[in-house]
Amino acid sequence: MLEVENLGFAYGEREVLKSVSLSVKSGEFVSILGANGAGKSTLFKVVCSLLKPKSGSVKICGKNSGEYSDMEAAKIRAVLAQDCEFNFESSVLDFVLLGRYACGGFFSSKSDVEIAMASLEAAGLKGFEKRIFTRLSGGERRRAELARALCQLGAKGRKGTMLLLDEPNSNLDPKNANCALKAAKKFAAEGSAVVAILHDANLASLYSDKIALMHCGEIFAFGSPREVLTAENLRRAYGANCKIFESREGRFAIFLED
Amino acid sequence: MRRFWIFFILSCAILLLLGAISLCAGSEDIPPSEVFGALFGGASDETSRDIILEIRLPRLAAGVFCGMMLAGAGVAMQTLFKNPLADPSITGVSSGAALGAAIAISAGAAFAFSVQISALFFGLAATFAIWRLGRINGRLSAFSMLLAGIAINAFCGAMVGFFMYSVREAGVKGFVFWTLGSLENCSWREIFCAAALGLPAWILLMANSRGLNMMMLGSDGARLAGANVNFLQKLSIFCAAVMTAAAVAMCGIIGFVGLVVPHICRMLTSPDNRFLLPLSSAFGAALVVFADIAARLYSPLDTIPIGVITAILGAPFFMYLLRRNGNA
Repeated sequence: MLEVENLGFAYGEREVLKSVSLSVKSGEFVSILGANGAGKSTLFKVVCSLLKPKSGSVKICGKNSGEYSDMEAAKIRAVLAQDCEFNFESSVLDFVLLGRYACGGFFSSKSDVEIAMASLEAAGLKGFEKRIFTRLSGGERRRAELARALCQLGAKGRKGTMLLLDEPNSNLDPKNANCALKAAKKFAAEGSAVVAILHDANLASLYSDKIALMHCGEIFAFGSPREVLTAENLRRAYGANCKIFESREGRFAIFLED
Repeated sequence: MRRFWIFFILSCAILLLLGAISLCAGSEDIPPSEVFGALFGGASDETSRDIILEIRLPRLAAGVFCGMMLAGAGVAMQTLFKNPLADPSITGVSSGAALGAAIAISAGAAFAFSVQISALFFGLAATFAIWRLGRINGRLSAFSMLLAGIAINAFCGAMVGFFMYSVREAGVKGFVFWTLGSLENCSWREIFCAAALGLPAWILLMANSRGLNMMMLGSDGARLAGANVNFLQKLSIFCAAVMTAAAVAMCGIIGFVGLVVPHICRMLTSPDNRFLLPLSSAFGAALVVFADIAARLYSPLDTIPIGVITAILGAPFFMYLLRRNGNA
């Protein structure tokens, strides 16, 4: 679904991405972890065609990402960006319905509204549709933004689509962070490729099929959570010591120490 | 949706009522029965009929048209710049048009419509200059466009002052007309020309109002959701400039309508441009017609410029907006 090959990018002289390669198949949930400034968000922007790569290529469904028009790309990939500039006193439902732009007609149809309502429910915002977007709390806003991204892909994951999430759990309490990632995981189970930038290694190990660890513009480890989340790798990624615990379910719980 | 229809029908009803008052009231009051007769070919006095069909009706049509255009352009600019304090003057078209008119008046306005054509040309040229200055690395930056707008507006204002000072007494009234606006002496020919220019731009904007909604997400957000941002930016600036230019070339600068009306309508319904544009246009038309009636009734013989009335109504509201935003 997504093939990133030898991707390089620089802001002026400063090299931010150095020959990054990454492959995500349909139905896979891949998390990207790394310290601040490791190049995660830049990688994201290049994958979304918001930035042009200096070298290498990004292929979506076997086609170069630059060959898609904005409208074509929006039909097969939805993005939850780090920040949302929307600052109008619109209802939450109207905000989520903006996600139907690429697929809907001039006026929202009944099925558009149904998709938006299903997306709100998946993001844990059932009953919020009439609330005013600007008056939501930070966490509620974040979930409304997630709902808009889900709505763009029709509220249901399917093969040939991709969901890109840049810190979907920012501003969210533990319960809602789980709810957001569960919604993304469900998309993956239904066939979409899901790529999420995360800061919480525990959440990443709970939900990801694969984890990519980034450091100084490079992916230096890529594989299953069990393979990637080692004390040594995390020390290299974050420059901090950590202990690894094996939970009863066989999952990893990681605490970073000073 | 229901709120939209309630307020839209209400605005249209108010507009109809104000239209009727506008046709009846003035330096000479004409009873409604005679107005009806003049409009629909019934029995009416010859003089009354001339006053209604050649003076008051074109004046009403010009007011409705200007209100529609200015409020519509305001909707587009506030959405595009994601700023409720933006208005059509951001495009520089008003001050550019005033400068164009000033140059034509100073030069002696040699042929029919030369003042209007000059106003239109300079208005659109100012918009183009601001748009070019606002682009950085091929992307439109709202911030640099705002700064460019301040610079161009200041320059045009200074030049208008210069010409106004140069021609002294004779042309001063003409300048006042251009800088404060008036619906006086609008002929049917002028109105048709302005409408031929402004209405297609309004329709184009309406047809793209769904895309304009996407601009509320910011340019990156809109692109990621499938909107052609470059096209939408060009289209909304172009349409807003043409709509404002059509209104300004005919009636001079009528301030505050493009700022206040979209804001009120957004508070009444929603920021959805598919509904905001028609509602603001109806409301804007009603406001301009109301301001014109007020201007005429205050001094029947020598009408005060309509821009004075809209500013008196609009400025306190603007201050309220600033306070409200500051406290939010």
